Amino acid sequence: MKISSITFGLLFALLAVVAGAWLVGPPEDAPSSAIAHPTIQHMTAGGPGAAKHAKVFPLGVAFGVLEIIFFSVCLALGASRKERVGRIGIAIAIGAVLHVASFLAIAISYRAYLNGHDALYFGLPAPTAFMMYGIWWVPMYFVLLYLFTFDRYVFSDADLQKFNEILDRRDRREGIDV
Amino acid sequence: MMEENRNLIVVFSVALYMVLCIAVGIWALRRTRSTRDFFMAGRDLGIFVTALAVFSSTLSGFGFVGGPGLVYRMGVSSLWMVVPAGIGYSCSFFLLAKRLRMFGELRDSVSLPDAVAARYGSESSRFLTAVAILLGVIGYLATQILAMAYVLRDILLNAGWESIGRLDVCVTVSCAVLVFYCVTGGIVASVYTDVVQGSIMMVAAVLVFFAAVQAVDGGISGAVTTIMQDDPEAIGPWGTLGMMGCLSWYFLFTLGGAGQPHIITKLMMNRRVADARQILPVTLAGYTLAALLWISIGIAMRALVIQGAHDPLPNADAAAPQFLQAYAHPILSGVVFAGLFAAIMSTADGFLNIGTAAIVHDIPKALGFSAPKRELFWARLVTVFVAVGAALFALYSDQSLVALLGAFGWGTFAAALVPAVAIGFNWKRANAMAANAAIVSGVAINFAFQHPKLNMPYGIDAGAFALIVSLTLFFGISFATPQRRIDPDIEAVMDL
Repeated sequence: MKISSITFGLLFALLAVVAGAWLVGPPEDAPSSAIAHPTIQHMTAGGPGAAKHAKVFPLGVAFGVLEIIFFSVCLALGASRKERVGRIGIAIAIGAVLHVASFLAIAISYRAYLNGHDALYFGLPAPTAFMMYGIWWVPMYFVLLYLFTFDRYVFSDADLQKFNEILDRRDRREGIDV
Repeated sequence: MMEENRNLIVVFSVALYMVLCIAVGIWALRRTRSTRDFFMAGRDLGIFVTALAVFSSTLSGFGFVGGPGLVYRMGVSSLWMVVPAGIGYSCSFFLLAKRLRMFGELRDSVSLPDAVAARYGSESSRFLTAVAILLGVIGYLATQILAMAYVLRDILLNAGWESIGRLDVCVTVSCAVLVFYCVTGGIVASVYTDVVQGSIMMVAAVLVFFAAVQAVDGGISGAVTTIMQDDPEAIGPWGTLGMMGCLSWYFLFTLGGAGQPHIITKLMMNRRVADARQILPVTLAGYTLAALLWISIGIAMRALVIQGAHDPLPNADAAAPQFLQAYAHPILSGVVFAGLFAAIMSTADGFLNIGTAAIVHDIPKALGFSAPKRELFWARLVTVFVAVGAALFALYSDQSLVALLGAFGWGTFAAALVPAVAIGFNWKRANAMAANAAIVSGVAINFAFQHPKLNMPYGIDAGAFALIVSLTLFFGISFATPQRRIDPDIEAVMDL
């Protein structure tokens, strides 16, 4: 299946999630978003998390997973040549799995947090720690991938040579002394 | 003695930075001999300069003021704008760094609309890209000019200089410095002031982080525990905004970077295509360090106010200025205020440059006019008019209109340009009709959602929704319409 078709399918899935958020309607007995802090002006509060997310939690999990897969497909599109990804696609897929796992860790630990499991890990409650140390840092994998596979999969010496040939052809066509 | 002279130290630091900008402008004047230099820095920037310019352009005054203010207000929610950095820059570089740079050299492009026209062979796409950029520039520039003026005014009033601490005076002074170095040095001056700004931000952020940890009783754990006891959701992974809102920000700020013209245009300016390999990690390192300031001040101030150790803020954006006044060493405070000024100016100058390019170069070309004979002269002149126009708009227009156009920014650029540029430069099936539809829909949906009665459910960001819709339209129209012939050179570059 072509990358473009996968991307198109993912977009429809994302739209379906957003439509789902509209369709389920607001939560009962809880705000759907931030509310004014009860005592401090210009600060907001979250309200009861369990009630707030009761209707929309599965949609949220789907949204998170879908968008992470979407980002990974975009990376693959950028790394592709003639819509073929090559072996770097495997590395991108591994990164996507790690990224999704970090996100699911947030979702699962958030449920426990709502039930009162509020121990701190590296200074933060568990779901926030997964966010700050997982979701933030796991994608550094893609940065390292770019750095260490650039010469082989992104822009090789052969690519540079071909690019220079394209420029030379252009110059000859425009009558510029090559 | 330092504490007594805190405000003077801040004034001096900001004044020193302004003098530095003027000096950079004079230096850059000698390096700016053509429109290619004025808009593209001669396509001759090194790795470090490009990297700092990219990350500094990403973080405007928002990184110093708006960001900490959002953390103060909403807790962890706004960090979903920060944590996309790794994946976001990766997406931008994988999708664009190579191809945009090559398109730029192949067609000797001096602007993003030039590159779009080269890709699609379409003047209508060039025109719409330029118009979208110009609309965003007007709003962004006006709000940046106002932000600079407000900061300068507060600094002068704190130092007791009420006679010159007036908004119109501050707009005039800050605009004058901005216009001077933008006119003399174009994007060269802009980029090298970005280097100064980025360097200040990285150093200041680390020092501010330690100051924030020390300011709160119990350090980070103490701050977190305080916030958790007050409101567990605020320090939970979704903050007070909620899961859907945060995840929509994650989508928008990950992909949206690849559609910000003031950021991605910098990817056309590096000396060699292969430099992108090192530019990405340096950019990310700089951004990650600078983000420490955003996170630490916001968390510290929220905890301090909840603990009763600091008075509640008059508004959320006062988080950073009040933290610096109360808890930072006077010299650190001076450095950070100078950095704040630098941050706002560096974003403003980038927008000024691309807005000028849209007026002088892109729109006339799209309408069939050839470049004016003395294009560099006209570029400099139009720079002055755009800056003055934006300043007058900021000062004398209805503030709600300024705020409207300012809010327009990131989401609109993302929805309008990510499909046409980031996706379209990598996918041969994409055509001009799809690109045009994405640009128009991106702008229209973002504008529509400024209406107070139109709201997305569960705090989902309208800009994220607009981006999903414009991407869907882009792919749908491309699939539904015949594939167009691509210029052979462009096609050959797309195959690399």
